[in-house]
Amino acid sequence: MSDLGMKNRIYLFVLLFAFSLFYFIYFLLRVNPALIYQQQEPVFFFTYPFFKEFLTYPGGIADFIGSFLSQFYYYPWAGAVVLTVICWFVSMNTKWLLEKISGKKINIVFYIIPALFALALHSQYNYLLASSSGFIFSLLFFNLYLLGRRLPVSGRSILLLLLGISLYYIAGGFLLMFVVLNLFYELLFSKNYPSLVINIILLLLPYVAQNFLFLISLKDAYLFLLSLDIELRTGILSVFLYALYPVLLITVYFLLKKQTVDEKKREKDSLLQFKNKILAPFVQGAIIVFVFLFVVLYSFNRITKRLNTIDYLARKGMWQDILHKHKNMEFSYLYETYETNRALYFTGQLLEGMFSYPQLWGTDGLCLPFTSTLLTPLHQSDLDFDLGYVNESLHWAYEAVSVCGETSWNLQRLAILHILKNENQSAKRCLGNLEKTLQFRRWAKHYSKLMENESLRYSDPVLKHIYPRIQTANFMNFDDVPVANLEQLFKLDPGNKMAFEYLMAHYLMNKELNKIRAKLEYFKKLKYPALPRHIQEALMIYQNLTGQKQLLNGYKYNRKLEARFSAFQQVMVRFKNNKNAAQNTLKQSFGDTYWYYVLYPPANPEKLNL
Amino acid sequence: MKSKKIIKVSSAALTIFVILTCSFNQSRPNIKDFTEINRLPVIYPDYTDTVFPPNIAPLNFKIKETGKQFFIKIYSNSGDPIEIVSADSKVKISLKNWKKLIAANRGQNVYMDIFSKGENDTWMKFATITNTVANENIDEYAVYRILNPAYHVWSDVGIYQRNLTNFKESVILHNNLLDKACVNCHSFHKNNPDEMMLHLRGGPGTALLLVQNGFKANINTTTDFNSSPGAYRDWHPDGDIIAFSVNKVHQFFHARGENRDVYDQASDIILYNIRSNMVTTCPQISLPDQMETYPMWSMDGKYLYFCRAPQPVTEKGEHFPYQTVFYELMRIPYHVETGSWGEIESVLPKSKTGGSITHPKISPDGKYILFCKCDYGNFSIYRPESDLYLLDLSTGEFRRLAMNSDRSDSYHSWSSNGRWFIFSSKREDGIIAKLYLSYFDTDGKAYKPVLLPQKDPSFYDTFIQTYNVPELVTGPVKIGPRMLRKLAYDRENAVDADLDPAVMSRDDSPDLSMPWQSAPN
Repeated sequence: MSDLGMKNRIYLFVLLFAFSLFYFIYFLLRVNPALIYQQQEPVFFFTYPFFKEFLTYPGGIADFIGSFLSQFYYYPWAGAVVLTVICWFVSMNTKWLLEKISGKKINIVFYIIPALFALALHSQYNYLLASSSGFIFSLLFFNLYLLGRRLPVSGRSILLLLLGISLYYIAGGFLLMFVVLNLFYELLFSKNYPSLVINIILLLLPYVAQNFLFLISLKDAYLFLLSLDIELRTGILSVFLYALYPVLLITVYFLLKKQTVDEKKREKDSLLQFKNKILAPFVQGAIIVFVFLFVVLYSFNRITKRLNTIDYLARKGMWQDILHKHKNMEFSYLYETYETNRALYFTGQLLEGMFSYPQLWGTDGLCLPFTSTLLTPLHQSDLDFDLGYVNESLHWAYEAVSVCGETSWNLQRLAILHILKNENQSAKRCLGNLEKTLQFRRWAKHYSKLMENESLRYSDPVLKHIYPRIQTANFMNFDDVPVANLEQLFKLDPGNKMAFEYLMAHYLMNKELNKIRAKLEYFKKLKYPALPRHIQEALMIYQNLTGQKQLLNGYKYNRKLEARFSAFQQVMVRFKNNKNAAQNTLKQSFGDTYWYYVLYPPANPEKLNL
Repeated sequence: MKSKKIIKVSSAALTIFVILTCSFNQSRPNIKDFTEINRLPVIYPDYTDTVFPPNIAPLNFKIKETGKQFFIKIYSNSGDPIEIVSADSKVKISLKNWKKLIAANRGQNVYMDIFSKGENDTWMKFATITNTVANENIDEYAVYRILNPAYHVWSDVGIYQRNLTNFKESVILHNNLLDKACVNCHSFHKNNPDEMMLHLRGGPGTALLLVQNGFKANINTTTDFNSSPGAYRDWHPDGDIIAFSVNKVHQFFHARGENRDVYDQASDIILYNIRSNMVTTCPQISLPDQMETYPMWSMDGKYLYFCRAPQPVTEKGEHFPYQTVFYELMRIPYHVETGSWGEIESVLPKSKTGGSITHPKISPDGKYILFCKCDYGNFSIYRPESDLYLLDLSTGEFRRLAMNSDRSDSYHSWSSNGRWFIFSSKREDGIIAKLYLSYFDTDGKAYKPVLLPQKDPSFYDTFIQTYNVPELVTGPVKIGPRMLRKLAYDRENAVDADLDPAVMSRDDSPDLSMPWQSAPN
């Protein structure tokens, strides 16, 4: 090997290593695979029946591989490795493909760009590894076909047919990608027209499979795993990625055509070689950086990351982190508000500081509206669990199984709830499934053991808080009136502090100050050392409006708060009771108070189209 | 050099072969000395003291006793015993040997001896398990629905058929073929797999898919009389008429105990005539102040049995008083030739049962009605106290069957010979319904049921879905899922049922969005 060849190899190796390192860091730090896990909740059991299910439809193998690899998202570094390897496979398969077609070395730009699209797709949080696996299979199979490009026509036709059929079974809809690549290859480079007939036969394969072999819809027969829903960003990016390959083939075709006779003879030369050797790396680098910036800046889904992050923190019970993230935000999505309020409760600040955080969604931010719970039932199950409302938590956990499948979190929740309800057989079934997972088998074994020992159950940190809260009397649940359920829960169990605080928060938001006043005695019963700030703020308004004294049931107002209320009143006097004119001033000094919330109730964010 | 390589490869292959052979072919242990344990071994499913069909698939099970190895001997008066060695406590019986043994012992007891090898390599023998092989076969196929425990959302719902003589299960229709529609309420005429109907909700549209000896139809059974399509159903013995209930159903949740519950806000019964494509009814089975449901024809087709409860009157803002709704068993004479009705009569009033009757099913010999009874309402699968009861039509006496459990025992279906019934029961955990087969002798006694056997005895350990609406049929349902899918989407040839002109249109039917309003007289 010449020095130049060696230098080129080293240069290429360093470049690829740098890219791989960059992908790894990008996935680890910017995307965070744990957040992908959070969104997708991928299911995988190490059992034969689970595997067998994947054999019953075309694309099942890629789906199975995707499901398996997705488990590594749970561990961010492992997830980042998997995603980096996926991108590397995309690059390498593209490189091999183009080199085989052109018979020349291929400029790195050609095969880095598809990997950047793969990176962009996986930055969306909802793009499945099953689709990436299918995509890589389609490239790999096309490369295998190219290996046999020197076979006689009949041999090539048989190879194409066998590869196409196998690919369809393995990767489902990615057969289309394979066929498209093949058609372009045959038309532009190979001119092997009999293969076109085979391609047409392959295009009929999904139709035949749907009608005679597999119980799938025609749409799934052709498009499964292709992720072509163009209403989603993954759909648009997928179309770009798939369309890139015909473009690459056409580009290679024209580049080859433009080459001089001398250049054509020099097989080892790189295609799209820059004449200026010094500038070449810079130009290449600039192209890649430009595409990278375009793809990443356009594609990165900040909102999804934000929502997944709060979901992740809530699942881990990292309440302080949630509050820290949302301290000075002007706007908060419904689920963010919902989790922030849970965080406020768990840090003892719900009635002390809930109006320091955006409460744009009113009471929906405390208890999700019915339409939202149907979309993400586990969220509702979480709150019901916190409240000790075991039956409703179970209800929503089973809804979650219908919506998302037998995911580990759903099974965990079900197992715990069945243990709490003393439904051991059902708990064992959930634990039995969890014992077949990668991440939760130890957890499952712990609870399986705990089930055998009555005393351990009551000392378990998760269970012991819920046991005393379990309902001892029945009532009919109100699906779409959560406050009615809170009232019932608190009525049955006046020691249920969370139900009490949520009820008070509901009353505050609904401006039902009479109801707050009627329940003041419970602050004493629940041993509050002082009335929480927002309750005091509400009572100051109440007292001010009604002129009633002796409201505080033995508590006293905080002096600073009293002074603050005077200041608040003075601002209103200064602005001659003009709410609109006073808003900015009040927001600066009193934006975190109940007084401000009462004066300026939030507009419905849905109407604001945010 | 080459021969050395061949020898090396051959020895490696031989070693692998020997290891594999040893691990798979566990020979019968030589048990000379053993300690007898004077109790039955714990096995799952509990296949002890049952009566099982002579054509059933092997009753595979798991031994829930400690032991590092188990030896199982299954034997009877005739035929070769079956011997199984198991290291993992799973007992999988060879289909061929099982069939041979059972076929030779109809009406006889079948015994199972289970030996367990302890840590110190000593053997213990548990008391012998006895089961009985019935003389009469069960219908070869069971058709049922599998879905997640049902709440508001459904996603993965399918109707399946299972060959009871082996373990083969196949899909009749799954909602992944129907844009996630809900598929439900499959029903057969006289256990005949060629005469089937089922319902669809959502997806391609609400429809009744009807298949009858080659005739196929997609029917909309809603009319100006009934805004809801037909739900609970029963075919008239002549096969041309199907009686349906039309129900306004409401699901709700309890804070304690079984969390799910359902009540009907209103319901009536209609008849659908397949030949004339016409819906009809009569005032006695569609009274505005009564809720009629669960229709069932007598075996001679001369009576329509059904359940009925007064429609509660509620004030605005009040909860529906679901706990005060009790369904009684009624019947009304029907003349199929003239389509005329007789006078309605009470068969089992609440004063006699003290509860609420659901799912009445008449035995093929016409002598008995098997029904569910629960404390209130009509949704027995969600009522833990629901049990199966038997009404002797000749004496009017009814009794609770001894094979019930303390959890919901519910939907049931007779075999064509009347010697078996299949039912769904949540007896194991109260959450997931599983299917049980019970022998019913000529004296009206139902025996300890057999849980539907599975090839893998661990199957039920991790299976989170629930079985419901089991129906026994005499052979396989031949129409495939693709054909049913085609039928479901064939909107061009879908037909709207006509309303019998003699039946008043219910344009002025009560506004069901306000069920607390009293119904017009």
